[in-house]
Amino acid sequence: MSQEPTLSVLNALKNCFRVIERQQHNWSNNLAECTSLIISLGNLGEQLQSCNKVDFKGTPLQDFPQLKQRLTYKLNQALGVVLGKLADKLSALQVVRDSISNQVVSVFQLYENNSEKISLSASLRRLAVIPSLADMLEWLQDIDRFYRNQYLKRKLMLQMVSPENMSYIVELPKLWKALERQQEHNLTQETLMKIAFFMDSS
Amino acid sequence: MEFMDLKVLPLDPKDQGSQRCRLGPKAMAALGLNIGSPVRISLPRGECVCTAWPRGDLADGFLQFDSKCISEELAGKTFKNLAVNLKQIKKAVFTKLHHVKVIVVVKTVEFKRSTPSTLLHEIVKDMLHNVYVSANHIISLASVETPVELVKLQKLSPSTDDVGLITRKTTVKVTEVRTTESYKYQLENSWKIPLGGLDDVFASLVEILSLPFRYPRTLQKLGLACPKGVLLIGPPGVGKTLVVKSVTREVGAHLLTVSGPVILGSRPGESEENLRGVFKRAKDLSEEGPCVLFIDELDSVCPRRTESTNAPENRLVAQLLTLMDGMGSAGSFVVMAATNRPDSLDPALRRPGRFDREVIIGVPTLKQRISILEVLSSQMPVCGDVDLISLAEMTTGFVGADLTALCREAALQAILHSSQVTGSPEINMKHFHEALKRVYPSCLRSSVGLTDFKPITWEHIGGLEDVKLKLKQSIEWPMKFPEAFIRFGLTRPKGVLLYGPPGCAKTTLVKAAASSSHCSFLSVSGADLYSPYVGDSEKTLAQVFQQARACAPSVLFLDEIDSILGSRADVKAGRGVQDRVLSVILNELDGIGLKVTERRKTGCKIIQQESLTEKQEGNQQIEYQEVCNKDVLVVAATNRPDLLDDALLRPGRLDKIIYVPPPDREARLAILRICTEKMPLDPEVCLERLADVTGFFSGADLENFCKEAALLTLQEEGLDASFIKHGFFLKALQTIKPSLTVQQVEFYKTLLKKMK
Repeated sequence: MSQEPTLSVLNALKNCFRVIERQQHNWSNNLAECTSLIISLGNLGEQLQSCNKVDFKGTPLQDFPQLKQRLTYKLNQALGVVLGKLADKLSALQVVRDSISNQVVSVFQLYENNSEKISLSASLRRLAVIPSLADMLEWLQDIDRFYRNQYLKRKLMLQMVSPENMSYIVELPKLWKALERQQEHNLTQETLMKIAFFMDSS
Repeated sequence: MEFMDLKVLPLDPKDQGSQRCRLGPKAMAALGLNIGSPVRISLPRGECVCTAWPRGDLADGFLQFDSKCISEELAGKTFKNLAVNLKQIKKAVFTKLHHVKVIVVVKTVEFKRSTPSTLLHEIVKDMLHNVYVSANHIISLASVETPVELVKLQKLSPSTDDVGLITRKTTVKVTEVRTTESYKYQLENSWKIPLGGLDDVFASLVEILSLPFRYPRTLQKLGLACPKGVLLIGPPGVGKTLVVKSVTREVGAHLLTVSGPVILGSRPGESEENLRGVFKRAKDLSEEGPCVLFIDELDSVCPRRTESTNAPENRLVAQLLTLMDGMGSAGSFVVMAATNRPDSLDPALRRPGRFDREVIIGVPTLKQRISILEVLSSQMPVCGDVDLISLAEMTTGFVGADLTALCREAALQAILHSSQVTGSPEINMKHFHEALKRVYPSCLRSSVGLTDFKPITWEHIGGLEDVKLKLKQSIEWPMKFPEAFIRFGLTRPKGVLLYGPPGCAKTTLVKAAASSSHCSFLSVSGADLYSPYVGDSEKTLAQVFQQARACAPSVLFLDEIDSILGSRADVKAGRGVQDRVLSVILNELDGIGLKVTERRKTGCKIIQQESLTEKQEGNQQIEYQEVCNKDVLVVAATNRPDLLDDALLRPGRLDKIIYVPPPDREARLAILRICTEKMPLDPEVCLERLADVTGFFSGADLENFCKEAALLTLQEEGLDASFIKHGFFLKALQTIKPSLTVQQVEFYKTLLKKMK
């Protein structure tokens, strides 16, 4: 049994993990921006809600003509701007997801092509510095799935935003945070730790 | 190695939704699997498609799998205490798919309504990416926690029997979006409920339902409003609920069941709110397909408003009325309700536009009972000697629920008896007879008239041959020879009056008649009817008649009828209870007709000879029986017929008046023979001579006379005497005097002449 196929898969894995490491930064940067945008979205939603509720007649502001309509218009416009920005960020997240996904698919493709030549025992062998092939493939798949699900959930969350459902917009920052908290034991970070020695080895 | 059993363990939480199955390295090697290659695991009742992965600890002998892609039969099942043989796992060859058609099942109606189809398509495609699928399997997506619950694969292209892989290039077509609720409902309720004896009701209900559900546009074109409500009326246990369930399955509708107690709430306004919620849910469901809202025991939800002073109840009724009016004819949504007390419903409910149709399900007739028994026994290992027709004849007054109980009891008997003998239990006629002793018809269960008595055969009654014949004519013959009755245009007599001096076996005769014919037998005496409340006695009597009709053919026995009724001719001040009870009986015997709700077998047909000739002989007999025996036979007994009202004695009411005479010599001899049957008699005892000397003795006297003689023997000869000697009979004769007198006999004789 030759070592070559194993080596080529290992190399591909190394490349892939490097891409993931890079994209992970992208992802978290984008996500941080998203979070601030979401908070301002929630803020605007709250303002709009209270604007609809309040009666300006009894306040010093009653002298301003059509204040309510103007305010609503302004706020709605601001909402639109924020949503537009969010859509941009979301597409950036999608880019991250797609590039990771592509990498993962190509690694799997390579493994499948060589699977005849790599024996099961070889792919299960764990060394001190190199985790087994099976483990690493598993981690890759997990990471891929993680990004997919995260992206999908966030996208759905933003899709549900509609002018009729103002209370949902107000709730949105909380929901968004809850999603982030799930992510707290960061899968990607952990995985990258596990393969640190492997990445360092030449 | 080949036959290794793998123990199925629950899945790791981190593998949730990954479609992985974890195997040991040895098992993977034995199956020739690589990491991530698709496998099919065949499980009891279904199959699961997974990708093979080694276990983290590399231990063998265990299997963990994610049920992401499973065949439909396994949906919602958990896999506990399961062992999977290695042979059940097969390596799959996958093809990359170009197109797939899917049904998407989402969690809520709101999501279904608000989500644009493009977005849904995108989400589904995203979620199906890199999933190994097989045709007609379902992909569970619950682990991602999105509103999309699962996806059912309908069609794969290129079609493959094995596994297909959905890649980025695969086009996904969503053919249908459904909610979880309706999907699960359909999955659980796909099999049909066997139904016996309710074919005509079933057909008419299917017709009512299928019109608006299947041809809504045709109805719209004709400018018709579809029927929106159907009310089922019938006594308890006839299968109202069952028929609704079966019909909804037949037309493929979603059944939403509501019962009274669930709706009623404690807070003011809560009940109405619940009711509105139920209607809203039904409306939501009807957007997916036909929906039936079934309100069981409607009388508890909707009592008459005038009778109750209970304001919350009245509000609830009003709410139901407005909801039913506001349903609109557009939705494919029908309200069905069932009740056994239609009289207590609010009349406003029973008009077209609310409950348009009323379907009355009566107590099953003979033919219906046969078909119910056929359905019930089709599931049971029934022995060849079981005659369902005779069983149906015996079970007059049984409703479907009673027949079910009967079959269950018979099966139980079979199990109990067969436990000693090896082999599978088989139910035979003996078991059914045993069961018949324990199961009573439920419509008689609460009746005052239900009596338990020791069966008596005609042979137990000495003499009175012509009286016996007359009774047989009026009770047994219509049961046994219905075709002769039809041929001669005869109907059963409505009533029979037995009169005669006391102690001459009138009651015993009726008992014998009841036990020889398999009728339901009800007996009412004055004590049953007595009540201190005004109107109560009449109500009880009317109820007894109603119950007797419900389980016709039946015999209603009124003993000592003179004490119950009396005569209207007797001059008395005011109208007594007896007058009113008499008027009830007169009306029940020959009134205008039955109440609508008491109708049995909708659309009672007049038999046409032409159609019958084609049918089998046995079938014909059954048809005759149904025509002949749908009435109640009233048998009354009295020893003061002169006190009875004349209206009662005319033909059409108690039309057969039978005089039960005191026994003559021959009869006395016969009675003495029967009474001394179990007594050891001395050979010198001559019953003929005794019969000669016991003039004016009634049957009861004669029985007492024999007992006295036996007691005298024991007294005189000691307790170990072996024979009763003739002398003791003569001695007993001295102490016992006949209860009949010359005047009495003369009185009855003149009465007999008068009546003739």
